[in-house]
Amino acid sequence: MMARIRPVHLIGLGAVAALMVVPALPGMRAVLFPLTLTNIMATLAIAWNLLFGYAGLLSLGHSFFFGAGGYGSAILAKSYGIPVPIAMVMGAAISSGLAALVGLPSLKLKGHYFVLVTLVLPAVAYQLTNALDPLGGHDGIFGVPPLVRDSYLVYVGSLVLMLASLLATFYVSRSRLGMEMLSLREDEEAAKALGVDTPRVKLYALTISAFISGLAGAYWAHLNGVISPAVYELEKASMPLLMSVLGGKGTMLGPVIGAYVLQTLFESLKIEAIVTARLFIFAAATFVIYRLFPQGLIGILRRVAA
Amino acid sequence: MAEPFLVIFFYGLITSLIFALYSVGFSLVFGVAKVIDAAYGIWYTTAAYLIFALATRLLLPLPVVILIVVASMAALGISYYSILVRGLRERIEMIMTTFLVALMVQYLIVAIFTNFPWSIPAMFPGSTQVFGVSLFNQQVAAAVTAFLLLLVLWYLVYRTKIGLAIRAVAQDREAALLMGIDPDRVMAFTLALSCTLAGIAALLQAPNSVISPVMGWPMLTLAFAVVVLGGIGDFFGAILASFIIGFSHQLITNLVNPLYSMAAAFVAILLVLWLRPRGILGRALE
Repeated sequence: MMARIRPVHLIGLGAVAALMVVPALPGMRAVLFPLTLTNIMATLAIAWNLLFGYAGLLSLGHSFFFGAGGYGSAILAKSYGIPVPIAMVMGAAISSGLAALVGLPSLKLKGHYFVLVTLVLPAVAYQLTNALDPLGGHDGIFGVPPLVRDSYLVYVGSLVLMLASLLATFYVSRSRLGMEMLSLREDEEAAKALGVDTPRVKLYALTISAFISGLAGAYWAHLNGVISPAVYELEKASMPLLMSVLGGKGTMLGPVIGAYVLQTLFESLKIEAIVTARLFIFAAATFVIYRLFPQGLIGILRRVAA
Repeated sequence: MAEPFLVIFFYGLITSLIFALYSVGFSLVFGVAKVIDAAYGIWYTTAAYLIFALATRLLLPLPVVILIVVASMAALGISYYSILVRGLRERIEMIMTTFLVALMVQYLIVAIFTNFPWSIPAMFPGSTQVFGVSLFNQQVAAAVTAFLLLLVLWYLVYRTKIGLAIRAVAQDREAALLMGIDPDRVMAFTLALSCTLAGIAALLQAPNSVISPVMGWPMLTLAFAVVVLGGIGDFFGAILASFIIGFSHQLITNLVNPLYSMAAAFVAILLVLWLRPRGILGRALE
């Protein structure tokens, strides 16, 4: 499938090499943490895009899966002494399990029920984590052990996580499941008529997406050393959506481009006057892009290139 | 010492009536205009901040505040429909667009008013003893107003021409068109009505506690629960469901922990979607 090497592959390899090397240069340590965050958010956006961009299942509450993975991994690593990498995978599995649990009742119905369920999910999770003492209540969980001590290695790990999620998207999209997901996105009735078991396809897409989101959340929890109910605030839920729509939903690289553009703007727009308004600016920009250029930045780039 | 069950009864009644008033708007829009308004929570928030600005910043008298809030929410609903919602056909696109609108409005509110938990003074201060239970006058007034408005709404939907048109469009848009009903105008009216109801719910409910930019999301959760339980576009189903949600909310708040009440509503949503997707009365429109 990838027999011919095209210029875009060389650009991709160059970009990865640059992302590996440049932050390691002397004097670049300040960008390590923001870039690590960017990779984590990009991973979350990739997971969201896998669900919406490929299977047409819109989730407005991906922060729930992110948070579930984070909480799961943090508790397993801190209270049960499970090695961090294993705890992360287990946290992601918990996220998948919860996704199946809350997703199943609505997946056999029309798509908009699922959207509404995901829309209210983080608000419910916010109150529940506040109420439950084993989850640390309002203060959350402190002293989550880090994956590794060295910040450059943490950064490389986040890059690997992001690339692995991209690879997962690539393989899923080329598989039989990916084809079924596309048919579901284009026309659910027609897909059903052709014998696609739509609830099963939706469930697989959801659990895979929740797994990747959970990994991203776990990575985030171990990076910060703390996770609290604030993870379920609207900002986290809306970011993957803003990033994917901005970059180009339903494309491999769209979420990554969107994440890098948004996070770069986010870090650089720290001027007093803009800080309070920047989320509004992002939402408004995404709204305009969504209405006028549904293909996002990737679509605009393609149009310019063509 | 008030009986706990009397407390639950009275507060359950008050909560249910306000939920019902708020949720009927969401249900109507869902059933009639076939619009899933992910921004329905934000209209509640918007109205609350409008009340805050008018009442505590501009110090306008109460009747003027009510008048301005109701008029501007109705105007908002009409422009929301004609500028944006009218052009949306596909369900998922609709939710995505209205969600982005909700995000914009919410972040705009944060930019203007910050995240500080402001409070709105009670319109009817003081409290009254009813059967040994102390009730805030604001809440009693809210419950009475909500009850009267629900009666007006029932009359509007089931006994007037515009109500007939609303039900006709809800049943079959094309057929309604052939009967000389302009679905566009009916939908604009429904959106205006729903935004006004969100505004009135804010007038009744917001003075009871502090306001915050995210206050609309729990309300949207409850409205969604009401619509799922009651069946989409089912007026009486929505009211019945509001009472179920309202009373269980008060039961859990008083006997367990207020933080579990939304989880309970959520479990109810999942159970009904799973076992009885056409609502507990089983006569939803889809």
